[in-house]
This record gives sequence, structure tokens and C-alpha cells, in this order.
Amino acid sequence: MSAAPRPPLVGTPVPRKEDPDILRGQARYTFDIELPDMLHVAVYRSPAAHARIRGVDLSKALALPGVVTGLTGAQVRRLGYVNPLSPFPFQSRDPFRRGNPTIKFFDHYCLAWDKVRFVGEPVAAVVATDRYIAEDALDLIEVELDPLPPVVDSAAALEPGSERLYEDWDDNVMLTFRVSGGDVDAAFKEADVIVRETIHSGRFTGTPIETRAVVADYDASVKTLSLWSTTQIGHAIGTLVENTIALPGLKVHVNFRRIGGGYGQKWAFYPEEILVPLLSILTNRPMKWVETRREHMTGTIHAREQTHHIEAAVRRDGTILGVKDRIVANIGAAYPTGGLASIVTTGMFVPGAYRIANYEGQVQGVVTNKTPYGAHRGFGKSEACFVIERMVDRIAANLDLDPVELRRRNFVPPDAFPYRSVTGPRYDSGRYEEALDKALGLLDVDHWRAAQREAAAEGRYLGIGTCLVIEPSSSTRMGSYNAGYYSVRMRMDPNGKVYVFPGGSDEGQGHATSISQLVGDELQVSFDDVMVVEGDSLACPYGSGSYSSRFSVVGTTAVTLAARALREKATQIASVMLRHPPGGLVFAGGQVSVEGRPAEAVSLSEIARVAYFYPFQLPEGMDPGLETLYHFRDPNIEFEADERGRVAMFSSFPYDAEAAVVEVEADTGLLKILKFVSVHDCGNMLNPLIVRGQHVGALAHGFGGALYEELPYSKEGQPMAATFKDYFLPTAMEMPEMVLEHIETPNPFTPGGFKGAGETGTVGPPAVLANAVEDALKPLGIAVRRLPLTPQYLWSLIQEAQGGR
Amino acid sequence: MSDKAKIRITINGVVHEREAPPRMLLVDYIRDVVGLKGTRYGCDTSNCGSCTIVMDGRSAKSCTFLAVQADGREVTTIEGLAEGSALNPLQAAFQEAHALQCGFCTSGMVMSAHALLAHNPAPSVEEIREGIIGNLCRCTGYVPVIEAVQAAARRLDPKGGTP
Amino acid sequence: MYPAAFDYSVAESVDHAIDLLQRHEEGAKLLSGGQSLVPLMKLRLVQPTHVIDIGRLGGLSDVREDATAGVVRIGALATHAQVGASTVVREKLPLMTEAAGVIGDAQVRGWGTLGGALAEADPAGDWGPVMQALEGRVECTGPSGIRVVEAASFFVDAYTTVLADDEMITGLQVPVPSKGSAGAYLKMERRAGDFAVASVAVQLELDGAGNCTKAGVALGAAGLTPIKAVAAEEALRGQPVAQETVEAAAERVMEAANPLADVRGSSDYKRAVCGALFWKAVDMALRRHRGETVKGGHVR
Ligand SMILES: Cc1cc2nc3c(=O)[nH]c(=O)nc-3n(C[C@H](O)[C@H](O)[C@H](O)COP(=O)(O)OP(=O)(O)OC[C@H]3O[C@@H](n4cnc5c(N)ncnc54)[C@H](O)[C@@H]3O)c2cc1C
Ligand code: FES
Ligand code: FES
Repeated sequence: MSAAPRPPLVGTPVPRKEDPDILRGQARYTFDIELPDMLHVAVYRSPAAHARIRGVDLSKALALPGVVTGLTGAQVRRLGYVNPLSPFPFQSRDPFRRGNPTIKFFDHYCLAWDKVRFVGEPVAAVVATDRYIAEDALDLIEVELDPLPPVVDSAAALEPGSERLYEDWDDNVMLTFRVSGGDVDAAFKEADVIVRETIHSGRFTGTPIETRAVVADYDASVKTLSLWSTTQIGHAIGTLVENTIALPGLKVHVNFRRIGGGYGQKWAFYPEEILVPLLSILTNRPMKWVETRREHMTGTIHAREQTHHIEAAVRRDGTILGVKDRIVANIGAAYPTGGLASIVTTGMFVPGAYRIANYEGQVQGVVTNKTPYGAHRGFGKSEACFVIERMVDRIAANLDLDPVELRRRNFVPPDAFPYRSVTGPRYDSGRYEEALDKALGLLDVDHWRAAQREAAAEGRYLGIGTCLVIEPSSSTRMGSYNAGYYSVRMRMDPNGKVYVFPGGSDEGQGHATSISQLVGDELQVSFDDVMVVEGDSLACPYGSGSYSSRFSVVGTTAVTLAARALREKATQIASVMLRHPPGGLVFAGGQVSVEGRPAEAVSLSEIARVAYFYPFQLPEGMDPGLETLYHFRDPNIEFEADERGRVAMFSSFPYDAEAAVVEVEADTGLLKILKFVSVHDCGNMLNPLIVRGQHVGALAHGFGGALYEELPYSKEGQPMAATFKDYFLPTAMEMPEMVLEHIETPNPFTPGGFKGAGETGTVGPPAVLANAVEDALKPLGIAVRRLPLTPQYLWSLIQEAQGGR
Repeated sequence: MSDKAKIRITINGVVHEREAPPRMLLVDYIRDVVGLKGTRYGCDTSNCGSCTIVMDGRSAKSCTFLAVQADGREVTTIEGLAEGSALNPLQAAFQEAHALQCGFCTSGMVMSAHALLAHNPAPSVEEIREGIIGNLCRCTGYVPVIEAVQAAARRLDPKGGTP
Repeated sequence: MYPAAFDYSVAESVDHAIDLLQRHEEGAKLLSGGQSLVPLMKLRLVQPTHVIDIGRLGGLSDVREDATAGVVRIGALATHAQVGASTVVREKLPLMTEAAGVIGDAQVRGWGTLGGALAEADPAGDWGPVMQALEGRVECTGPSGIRVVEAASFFVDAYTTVLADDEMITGLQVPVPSKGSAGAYLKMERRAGDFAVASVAVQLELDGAGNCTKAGVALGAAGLTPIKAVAAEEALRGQPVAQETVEAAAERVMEAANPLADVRGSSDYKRAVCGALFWKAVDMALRRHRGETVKGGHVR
């Protein structure tokens, strides 16, 4: 028997163990759950943007054969044990403990009762024996609404006389936040030039292909509510359900094992997560609700819509002395979705990859009659990077400098890491200039500059853009359940198999594979002998779920350290079994042996059996069993902000240098990406196959937001893109040819050196493509100030510049 | 109105004859009446392709058919591809290329690719892209899917393969 | 989302289908490929009381040349894919091959039919402008037999045609353009698989001297119905296809366009796109006339 350690799994492109079930069609998602006697829920949603509810009449709907029951907002309030939706993530009103940010809340129930405040807001529910009949019943619901003036535009919402969404508020501002560092006034005094811009990011969102679904099964005999939900935060949902449905003695079990993509949209607490359980409690029957895509496009959070009024103080040589940014986010109705924190994050990260010593950010979250705002892959950082990367190019244009030079001049240099940013976060590591140089090399700038000149001679518009975006990951926020740790339970069973119960959830990231690699290496067991059980609120330790790429940072660390704890205990047991001190033992190949004497060995299952079945053989004072619960606390964060709002609330800082060549067709505004390069640094790569997959997927998401995806509203507050017919998700055809490279600068704060890998790609494309477009249209002297870069937008810029119609 | 109709569909080689109202969509017949949950749905407007099956040799969005329209036809779903416990070459190529993440779109994506390769055993990259535009994926960015289909084409037809 | 309830019958023949239509009048809907009807029924934008499935009628999906009549005859149930793959169409009506390739996606093309597409009369549909540019005709069969309607006068309004409640499309007749003809169909899309932002079909007949002897120009997604740009055709006819002629014709194209604003673009923008696509399509047609191989179809 050889005990040589086998080649490591970590760092290699192991194919995923999740895949065979999915590829055979055996994988089960929430909407696949079938329970005996299950009923089906359909939700009546507001057709109006803003109106007072005069009455909701379900009588005709209830008379339809097959309809079992129904519910209105007024009825929910009369039940007596249902609270308003608990603010997410049971966030203290003052997360940084200094009255900054300020947040207002409103008592929204799972069904609207006084007013409706956006198209798509749930107003009533019907329950029937099948989904077809439930939808028939929707058509029979009669709702009387008194229209109110819609508030759609954030600037208009801020005007003193504006209609208010919440009458007991004194304005339409839900959140304000200020952060500053250095001496901004001095910087602006010292400046040679001040560059001012107004830059806008469009409303766009995650749209997982799996819409949301909730299944609830209340068993009155044991007062247990079993809940299946498409959520990234199952543990928190359990707590929130307990808060909201205040039935004494109610036990809640949340299942969220297989989620069909999240991207932040499933990182929220939704009314249906109360509504469906409530209907199950009221009828004592299992209930299922599956969101239609139309419901999804209006009833599930949107993101990104922000306007930045930004000013930069610069020296003539391009040094950025200081930046002031006033950020207004159009956040829709004030649902307690939590993702609102993304606008605080934007305020924190406007300085981006640059050493900007003086900065002041002011953030306002303004409520409007649009779908509530929340988390979305790139969480606030995407908007921040778009703005600063746009500004760098605008500054370069103003000073007639090369934007690449300007970037170099202002980058945080490699020897400054860990780098404390002006807003407080501690950037872990990075080699920005090197990454950008590599990207430019791969692009072949000289070739494309020549092509650009040739094109110009023919009256065509070719442009080159660059950007370097950071994507701070693994966030932590004071007073929320997002408290900067990750828990994992790990058990080696008597057969030597390792069961891992992480406190997160998987929406497609391949946690089971990554965990099996880590545990396989640490415990020297085979990849197949690691069993991962995730997404069960009662089987797994309490955890904050999946978001902010935290699995790669804190999750992997918790898993590694848990495995090391098990290994330590197993070694101690082996030491007793082999009568040899632990120091001279070799842990490899599924066994523990005495160094140099491979015949003197015990297998892991022999060790485990002793741990479980022969506890009297264990060393003095050792507990039986081979199981551990491990909590890892993120070392690179702080919990409390200082008086200027500064706090280290993200712990790892992956980044991406991108370069692109585009051609813009003047007569149609069509944009073609001729070449696209990304040089990504997410630290060490646990599984290069998965990292590449995450990155390419994120880039696709980024192209979507840069060029195609938008959630426009009419003046009346009607959503114009309420189906996949009108919301343009990119297809395979829209993906450009890409040159992808990685460099690896390890995260010094974690044993594996990993950083988040799945979001950076979302951030860069808007910036790099906008920069390339502006370069292409330089002969016309236009400035790009908004997203998405639709053909119509580019066409209208060209028309304006040419003085056309 | 809407009395039940008897609908007979051969799915993955097995004849299923069940009653269903005429308004029942084929996807629901497959999922809820027959119980094959591998075919999924993700939109209301026939855009996402998660529900793609192969019917009489052509790829079809099963959410865009009434079950009665499939009466008498032959349907293959994702469950009908694997040979025993082993993945078929296309499925295996998907795993090797990491052409799936959350997996929600995957059944439809694989079925579209399957139909494409049946008609065109050696598609070019452009033809592969064209062949899957009816299938939206939010996770993979499609690049690995294209690679998987290329690899499968090479494996299924070593002489062919894509440029 | 799910259709409201309805009664369903399978038509055994064209006569049977028409008989069923007569019996059920306004509440009845024919079902061919279902690629437009089923999604609309799911959204409950259409709620027929009776669905008549004509999708399996035999003999209605042939594509063949009728040399004596100088036309290609296409059965109403021919699918987009079938037309796209047809050799007769490729040789005689390459404009249609080009159009067949830009409709929706593989799944839609495999099942959606030309009859269904024309009857649907989606303002952004692709077959309308193509049929108009080619001067195609629609065979409408009713209780008293067949009447043949020019594509140019087939469309009445958005989603509305001249078809009576008891009529169905049984086929199309598309005149084969003369040897010296060339054309192009260009459709701009926001993303692959989507309906047109705007589209332009151009078919030019040129004499040896390069003069345009006949022009077919039609626009899609440029108004409530497909628009045959007759003034543009006139501007081209009898002229050498040179800069000024095309400029004048492009002006006419933009005048003819009256697009509806939506998420794909404003009315002004789409009008400009019609003009731009027209320029490209004429250029492409001329190059094809000279024997060059150029890729048309999608503009995205
Ligand atoms: C995702 C998607 C993308 C699409 N993209 C495009 C596109 O880019 N361009 C485009 O042009 N189209 C597009 N379509 C529509 C497609 O072309 C449809 O196939 C076509 O419009 C309808 O054909 P069908 O046979 O499916 O008709 P059905 O859906 O069966 O019927 C459509 C309508 O026509 C009536 N009808 C059907 N057959 C007849 C007949 N023979 N006589 C009289 N009335 C009849 C029906 O009663 C119904 O009102 C798309 C559809 C989808 C789902
Ligand atoms: S469910 Fe989206 S196309 Fe069928
Ligand atoms: S793998 Fe998640 S949508 Fe395609």
C-alpha cells in the first residue's frame, strides 16, 4: 500500500460532480416539488404604478369551480398574527452606528392593502386545484383603484412639491449616506483643471432562467412549516418568516438545495415567501407558487439605476487629486429587499483602482413607482467602476492625454498593498499596471491604431477602449445577518466518507466540486468520497447564504480549516492506535501511517470507527465522533465605520483589466466588438475550469448590461420590458470573440489565496465598451454619458454631433 | 367546453396515452402528466428555450405547443439521451467543457444541440451559435457550450469536426 | 402562463376547416404551427372559444415551381425551415431563402408556417415585406373557393388582414423574377432571434446598361403593416442605379415609413434605420447582380 500523497486536486480543472444529474434531466428544482394534495397559487398584481386601493372583490373568483380560497391585503392584516415584511436583512436602522446611513422603512405586507406603488406589486392571491384554473380565477378578481400621480423619474421625485409615495415620510428619500476622506476642498483648490460630468447607469437586472418559486407545506400536527424557496439566503428567510408569521411555537424548515441561478435577484426577502406559507397555514394543505416570467420582470428586484454628478480635481499631468460624487439612485418602491445597500457600496468604491486621497461621496436612494431595487451581480461596484472608468477617459480627453497613461499614473501601485482606500476598505493585493499592460499586449494596440487610421480615412469609426475594474468581494455589514463569517459542519463517517454541511447555498457555482477538491486534498480522501449537503436550514449551520462571491473567500477558508481540524483529531486517534507520536505520522492516501514504515498504517475508516464505536480507546478527554463545526471570521474587515463613514466592509479585491476594439456604424448606431481582451486576477484559482466559466458568464452578463438590457418605464410608470420578448438577454450570437488570460496575485488573508471570481466580469464591459465608443467617435467630439449603449443612443449622439435632425 | 382529450405521445420510445384538456401545454403534459421533470420552462413568450425537446426530428419549444398538437408524434426529452447510466457523447462534452452551471437551461440547450448535430454533424462555430440562439443561458456566457458542441461533433464524427 | 379554455378540433381537410370556421365564426382560430398563436393564448391576449388545428392537413406544405405560370407555389403549411432549405426557392427566389434564415430561431423556424406568419400580420414580421417586394400573391380559400390577393393589399392593420372569418390561407404564389434580377433582405435586430427593429426588402431588375427596369421595395416594422414603398420603386424604375437615384429613393423610403416607437427604438430612429438598410440593400443587390457573394439577412 502506497501512502504517497496524490497530486493535489486544488488548482486543477476537475470537471464538476454536479453535472451528470443535471445532464440526465434528474436534477430537481423548487418548481419540480410535488406533494400530495398540493394546491396552486396565482397572484393578482397591480396593473397601475401608483393608486389607492378602494376595494378588492374575490367573490367571482372564489365561485369558480376548482378555486379553493383567496386572500387580500386587508384580510392579511386582520389575521392578527402577520407582521409587515421584516426589514431585510433584519438590518438595524443604523448599520454603521453613527446615523449614517439614514434609512426609512415602511410597513409593507405580503399583499398591498392601502396603496399600490408599482406595476407588479402583489394585491391578492387565489388558490386552486391546478395552475390553469388559478389563472382563470385571476381574470375574475375585481380591484378598484383610484389612480395617483406616478413618480417615475428620480430627479422629479426629489423636487419639493413631488407626489410622495409614503405619506408619513417628509420626502421621497429612503436612504442617505455620506463617506469622505482626506481634504476634498483643498484638493479642488489645488487643481489645475476640474472635470465635471453627469453619468447614468441604466436599470437592468439578473433574470435567472429559473424564475422564483415557493412551495410551503404546513403540518399543523407538529406546527412545522416546510418551505422550499428559490433563495440565495435560505437561513435568513427562515428567520424572516418566523418574524413575520408570528405564530407561537411555529417551526420553520427552509430548503434551498438547487437554485437555477441567482445573480443577486434571489438575495432578497419577497412577499411570496410569506404569502405562500400563510396560505398553507390557512388551508392546512401544501401550496405551490411558480413565478411567471412576466411576474418576474416586475415583481422581482431590479438594479443599477443611478445618476452620478461627479467632479474630479486634476493636475495638468493627469494626477487625480480629488473626487466628489453625488449619487442619486432610483430605487423604486421601498421594499425591504436589502440590496439597497448596493448604493452605499457604490459610494464606497467610486475611487476604484486609483490612489485618490481626497474623496467625498453622497448617496441618495430615492423611491419611485418602479419595481424595488436590490442586489445584482456586481452589487453597486459595477456602477462605481463605470463612473470612475468613464471619468478617467473624460479627464484624459480634457487634458489631451492618453487614457492608458492616466490610468498608470493614478493606479494603486503593487507595493502599496494591502492598501487602505480613502473610504476605508483594505485592498488585499493587486498588480494593476501589469494586468493592463498584458491586456494591451494581447490586444495588439499598434495594429488596431493603424486599422483605426485606415477606417477613419474611409469615414468609418473604429475605437479602442481600456479599463481596469475592481470587484470588491466578500462583503460584511454591521448589524445585518451579513456579519462577516462563514460556518461549516464536517463529519467523517464510519466508512471514511466526508459529509460537508456548509452554511451557504449554490446557484450554479459548483460548491460541491470545489469543496470536494479542498477536502480531498486536506483529508486525502477521494473526490467522490466527499458528500456535500447544502441548502437545508436544519441540517446545515446557520449562514448568510451566497452573495458577494463570499464562498471563494470565507467559504473555502472555513472548509479548509474545518478539514484541518478533523485531520488533527484523526491524527491524534491514529497516534493512539499506532502507538506512535502524532509528529511522526503521515496522513496520505486514505490512511495514516508511521513515517518510513508504510506497513504500520490505519485507514481513515478504521480511525473513524474508533471515534464512533470505541470511544473508550480515544485519548483522555477527547469527545467521541469525528465531526466538527467551524466558523471562520473574515480577518480583513471592520465592523464599525468612523465618523466620516469609512469602514473596511469588503475583504478581497479581484480585478479585471480589459481592452476592446469596437466599430460604430454611423447610420444605424450599431456597435460591433472587433476584439475583446480580459486579464483577470482573482488570486489563486481553486478550479480553473470553474473560474473561467464564472468569468465568461459574468462577462456575458456585462455585455448584456452594456449593450442590450434595459428596463425602461413609460411616463405613466408602465414597464416597457415586461417579458423576455422585450428584455434583450444576450444570446450565443452576441458573444464576441474573447481573449482571456489570468494572472494570480494571491489573497494574503486566506490560506488558499482565493478571491471572488464570479462577478468581476460583469463590471468591466460597460466601462471598456463606453470608452471604446468614445474613442471611435472622437472625430465627432462626443461624450458617452449613459448605459446601455443601444444603437439608438449612439445614433442620436452622432446625429447631435453632426447637427442632424 | 374544454373536455378532456385522449392524447397519445411516444416519449423516449415509450407510448404514453393520457387524458388532458386541450388547453394543456405540451411542457405540462411532459412534466406533470407523464412526470418527466427534466424539461423545464422559464418564460411565457417562447424566448428562453428551457423547454426544448425534439419532436419528429425537429427541435421544438414544448411550451409553445398544446399537448394535443403532439398527439401521435414522437418526442425525445433530455431523459431520453443517456445510454444506460453513461452520459452520451454530447452530454459528456457538456460536462468536460463546463458548459453548464446552474443547469436550469441545460436540458433545453442540450436538446437544441442534439437536434443541430442530427441535421449537421459538422457545424461551424457560426452554425452552432445560430443553432442555439433560441436557448437563453444566464450562467455560462455560451462560450463553453459552443466548445462542448464542437467537441461532441468531433467525437460523433471524427472525420467531420468544426474548423 | 396558460391559455384560457377552448374547444378543439382537428381539421380533416380544407373544406372541413372552412366548415368549422363558419360554424364557430368569430370565436374560432386556426392553428398551424402555433408559434404565434400559442404564446398569445398563454398571455391571454387571444382567447378563442374554438381552436381548429390545420397543422396536419396533407398537401399544403409543398414548395414547387410552376414554370407555365412563372411562379413558385408554396403551401400555407410550409415551414420557415422548409422554405429556407428548398432548392427551388434558393434558385428562383433567393430573397426568400435569405428571409427564411432570419426568422426567430431554429425551434420557431422548424414549426412556424408561412401561412400562419402572413395571417398573423405581425407589424414586425419578415414575410410581409418580402412578399410585397416580390409581388407575391396569397391564396385565400373560403366557402366559395379561392381568391388570390396581392401581398401589397393583403394587410389591413396591425394583426389584421383581408381574410374573412371563414377564409384561410392555402398557399402563396410568388412570381419568379427575371434572370437579370437581384435583391437583398436586411433585418436589423436588437439581438439574435428577435423581431425586426426595422427591415427592408429590395428586389431590382436591371438591364444590360445597369438601368433599373423594375424595382420591388418594401419595409417591415415600419408601420402598422408591411409597407410597399411604391414611391421609392418609382424613383428607381427606368433610372441608372446611381448615387442620386438611390438618394432620392431613400428619401421616399423614409417618407413611407411610419414606425411605432417601442423598446427597439423611437419612431425617428427606426425611420433612419429604414433609410440606412435601404442603402445597404441596394448596394448588396447591385453587388450580387455583378456576381459577388455577399451575406445579407441579419444586421446586428
Ligand atoms: C421566439 C419567436 C421569435 C419569432 N421571430 C420572428 C421573426 O423574427 N420574424 C417573423 O416573421 N416571425 C417571427 N416569429 C413568428 C413566427 O414566424 C410564427 O411562426 C408565425 O408568425 C406564425 O406561424 P404559425 O404557423 O406558427 O402560426 P400560428 O401560430 O398557428 O397562427 C398564427 C395566426 O395565424 C392564423 N393562421 C394560421 N394558419 C393560418 C392559415 N393557413 N390561414 C389563415 N390563418 C391562419 C392563426 O389563427 C393565428 O391567428 C417568431 C415567433 C417566436 C415564438
Ligand atoms: S419556456 Fe421559455 S421558451 Fe419555452
Ligand atoms: S447554466 Fe444556468 S442558465 Fe444556463
